Order: sequence, then C-alpha cells, then structure tokens
Amino acid sequence: MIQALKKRWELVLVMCVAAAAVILMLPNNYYAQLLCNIATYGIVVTGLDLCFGYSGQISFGHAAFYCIGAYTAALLSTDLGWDPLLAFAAAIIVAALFGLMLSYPASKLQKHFLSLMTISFGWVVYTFVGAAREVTHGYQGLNVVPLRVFGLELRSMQALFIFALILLILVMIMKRNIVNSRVGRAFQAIRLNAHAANGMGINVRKYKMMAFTLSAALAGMSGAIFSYNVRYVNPESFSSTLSVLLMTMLLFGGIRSYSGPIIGAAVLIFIQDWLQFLGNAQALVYGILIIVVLFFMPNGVAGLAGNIKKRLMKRKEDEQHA
Amino acid sequence: MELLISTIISALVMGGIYGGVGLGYSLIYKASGSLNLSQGDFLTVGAFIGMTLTKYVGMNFFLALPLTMVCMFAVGVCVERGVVNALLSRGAQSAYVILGTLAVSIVLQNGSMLIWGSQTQSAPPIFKDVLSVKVLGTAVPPEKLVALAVAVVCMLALHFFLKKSKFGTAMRAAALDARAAGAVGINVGVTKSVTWGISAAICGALGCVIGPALGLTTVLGSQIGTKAFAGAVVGGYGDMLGAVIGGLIFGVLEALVSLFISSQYSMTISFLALIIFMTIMPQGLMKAEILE
Repeated sequence: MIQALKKRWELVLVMCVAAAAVILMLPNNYYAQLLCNIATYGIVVTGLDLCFGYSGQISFGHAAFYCIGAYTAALLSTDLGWDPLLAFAAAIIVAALFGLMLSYPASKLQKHFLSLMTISFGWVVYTFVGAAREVTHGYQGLNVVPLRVFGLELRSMQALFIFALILLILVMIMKRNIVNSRVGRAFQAIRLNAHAANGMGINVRKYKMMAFTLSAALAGMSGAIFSYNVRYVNPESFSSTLSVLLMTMLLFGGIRSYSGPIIGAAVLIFIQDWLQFLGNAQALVYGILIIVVLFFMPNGVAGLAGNIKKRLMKRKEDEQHA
Repeated sequence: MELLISTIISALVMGGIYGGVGLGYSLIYKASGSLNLSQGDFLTVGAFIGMTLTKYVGMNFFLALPLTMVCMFAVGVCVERGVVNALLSRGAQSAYVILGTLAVSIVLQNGSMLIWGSQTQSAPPIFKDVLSVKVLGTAVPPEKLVALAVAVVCMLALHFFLKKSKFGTAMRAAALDARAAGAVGINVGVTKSVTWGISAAICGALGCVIGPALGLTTVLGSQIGTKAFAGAVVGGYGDMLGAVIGGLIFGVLEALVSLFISSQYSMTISFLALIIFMTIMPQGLMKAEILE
C-alpha cells in the first residue's frame, strides 16, 4: 500500500493540500457553504462528464434536471410534509425518470439537433416552473425545510457539507467503476464513432440512454442537495445560465477525468464569489473562460496537469539521451 | 374580431422575425456546417446599436437601419474569422465549435448588459406623428408593420441575391461542395465569412425594427434565437424556405397559445411541441437531411 501511495505521490500531495484547505475553511460558515456548493456541483458535473465527456452527447439543458431535483425535494418535503430524506430519494428518481423520457429522443439525434432539444427542454422546465404558480410557487419561491438524516437535523453548513462530500465520494467511486468497465468503454466507443460501435455489437441506443439518464439522476441529486443547502428555491436559479455554468465547469476542469469536474466546480465557484460586484454580467467571464479553454486548454486544467507532466518526463528523457 | 386581427398581425410579425433569424441558422449551417448559438444575440446587439443611433445620436431611423446592418455585418465576419474558423483550422470537433459560438453569445449578451445596462430600454418610435394605423378596422402600431415589411424585404433580397447574383451563386456552390467550389476558383473562405456577415446583418436589421415594437432587453435575442432555431429545424434544417415556414409556424403557435391559454405558457408549449416534433420527424417539413 505504501508503494502504491509512493507511485502516485502527486495525487497524494494534492489531496493532502485539498484536505488541509477544507479543514481550514470549514469552521467559517461562509466558506463552508462554498465548499458545500463545490461538492454539489462536483456531483452534477461528474454526471455531465459521463453524458458529454465519455458518450459525446451534448447537453445544454442539464439545469432542467437540476431544477427538477431541487423542486421535487423542496415541494415534497415542505408542501407535502414528506420526510426530507425520502423527498431526497424521490428527487433523484423523478429526475432520472425525466432523464429517461428525454434520453429516448436524445439517443436518436446528434450534435445540432441534440443541442436544440436540450436547450428547449431547459426552457420548458424553466418557464413551466415559473408559470405553474399554484404548484411550484412561481417566482415567489419556496422556503425549504432542513434535511433530516436518521433523526439528526442538518441545519448547519458543515453538517450538510459532510453529507454532500459522502455522496460525492460515492459518486466518484461509481464513476471509476463505470469508466473502467465495459459500459464505460461502450460510452467512449459511441463517442468516437457510433456507427463503428454499432457494428461491433454495442447497443448504441441502450448505452446512450443509460449515460443520459444517469447524468440526469446525478443532476437531480445535486439539485436536491442544493435545495436543502440554500433552503430556498426560485425559478431564476435554474435558467440557461446555470446550464452554461455547468458546461463551463466541465470544460475548464477537464473532460474525461476524475478530478476535472471538481477542479472546474471549485474554480468557477471561487470566481463567482470574487465577481459578485459585476452583478448579472458575471456570465461574461464564463464566456471568456470558455473561449480561453477552447483555444488553449481543450483538455481543461486536469488535462493541463497531465500535459505538463508529460512534457517534464519528455525533457528528462531527452536529457538522458543527449 | 379586433382581437383576432391584431393576433394575426402579431403572429405574422413574430413569424417574420423568427423566419429571418432562422434563415441565418440554416444559411450558416449550409455554408460552414456549424451551429451558431449567438444568432439571437446578433439581433440583440443590432437592436441596441439601432436604439443608440436613433435615441442618442438622433439619426433618422431609415438611416440608422442600414448603418446597423453594416456594423453587424462586420461583427458577423469577425466572429467567423476569430472564433469559428480559428477553431476549425485547429481541428476542433464540431461540438467545440458550437461551444465557441455559445461563448460568443454569452460575451455579446453580457457585454451588452455592461454597456447598456440590464434595465428594459425603450427605443423611440419610428413615426413620431403616427400613433397607429388602421388595418382592416383594427388599430395597429406602425412599428409592427415596418418590422414585417423589413423581414419580408430582407428575405426576398436574400433569395434574389443567392439565386441571381454571381457572388450569391458562388456562395451556394461553396455551401454545396467546398472542395469543388475551390477547384473552380471560388474563394471559399471569403464566401463563408460573407455568409456569416449577411446572416448577422439580417439579424441586426430585424433587431433594429423589433426594438421599437417590443422594447429592448439584453435577453431579447436569446429567446427569439432559440425559437428561430426551432423554426429552422421544424421547417427543415438547412433549407431556406423551410426556415421561413418554420418561423411562421412558431409565430402562429405562440400567438394562438397566448390567445387561448396564457402568454406565460407560450414558451413551454412551443418548446414541448418542438421536442415531440423532433422525436417524430427530425428531418423537418421540407425533408432536409439529418445530421449524422
């Protein structure tokens, strides 16, 4: 085990630094909420990575599933008095169901058409939640009851962060298992060349639907965590800006990597924090970031780290040979 | 009866706008094979430039309109050269080019917010003395009729340009087969840039005329853009006439939903209809090819 740790010393170092940062920030309530947000977005962006990074299905409307998860948890626990943990589970299932429904047409369409469909679905959910005032409280919003896990009420930011962190770790383990299995390889094959994958006997439709539904479920999960975190839901939080933010986080952090989504989430959340003074025009920075990423870092920050390592190793090799 | 006529006129006006912007989507897809998610924001920027020219510089509207078109033409060419072509020449996949145009859309939208503020602005009316015009017995603001006229003129002009003029034919050739067109001496890079420029100019013109009619917000364009894209796909992605027909369909659908159900649900129902349509018939009404 010590050997395995020594081999991956960079990873261990980064994790120790991250753990130290987390422990330092946790007592402060404001930073604890930021950390909780990072964990939450980490989950949804990991799902988006499975959908776009691995299987190549563009989705500009994932905020819709996030919204569905948030509102399901909020409405069931607050309006209907359900046990918050049960509402949480229901949120994941409902979001997964909507994901399943949308994944069937999504599996038939490609690129431009898929972008249009996901954008439209985002608008459908956003406008519906705003308009159906009797059910969703419309633009007035809804104050959500705190989450109760096995009788323990998670009111504090710190407690909720632990909850979100546990879920994030479970999700990462699940991602690793998927990626290293035939399912993950099927996803990648489909992304690279769907026709060839079909020819090799991979059921393209089934795996596309699986990836899409899974990412929708994860988005629903994080939406539910969000509603228990902020304790207030309102349609404005789930506009197309959120979908763009999720994509930015994924691209910036690095697609097809484990740490990528979390790095992307962390950096974007801190940027969002620093740019409060810009008000609504914060998204301008997201746009510029996307352009920077597309031109200079197509593999994101995580990819950059890999590139730097490769270049350093190459230099070592050249020096040895020269 | 009055309500019906004004609804029909609104439907035609919005349909014309969606058709015009949708034309841009299909044009760009035909010419450079990419999806331009910033199309709606070309409309917004055009609207704001037009408003700035008429309100703050005090120019006559019918002078501001062509000037806006020229500005937006330049913007379109810059986006094509600076973002789309640059990404394509680096061998980026089409998904990344789409993301690039999304980034441009965000920059345009929020840049407008920073320059012109996020409050709803009002553009001065085009005809200061004429408040309303009687059409079939119903009072209609003349701005809406101007908007419809500009949309129709733009579409007809584009049609004749593409069909009859030498450069327009060159553009169509380059869109059909870039390599063959290059082989006969057509500068495909220039035709691509001009395509983007024309598409942006049309959106700018439509934005300029829709500003006085609808009121200017920075999110004006993104909603219109998405619906116009929906219209282009419904009509047949890549087909010019299809884009216009699809735009009209969405204009009418929107007006009908606002009239019979509620204006709040108009977007919900329009896009829900789109999703169902795309599931059943993705090649659209004019039977265009589906992207594979």
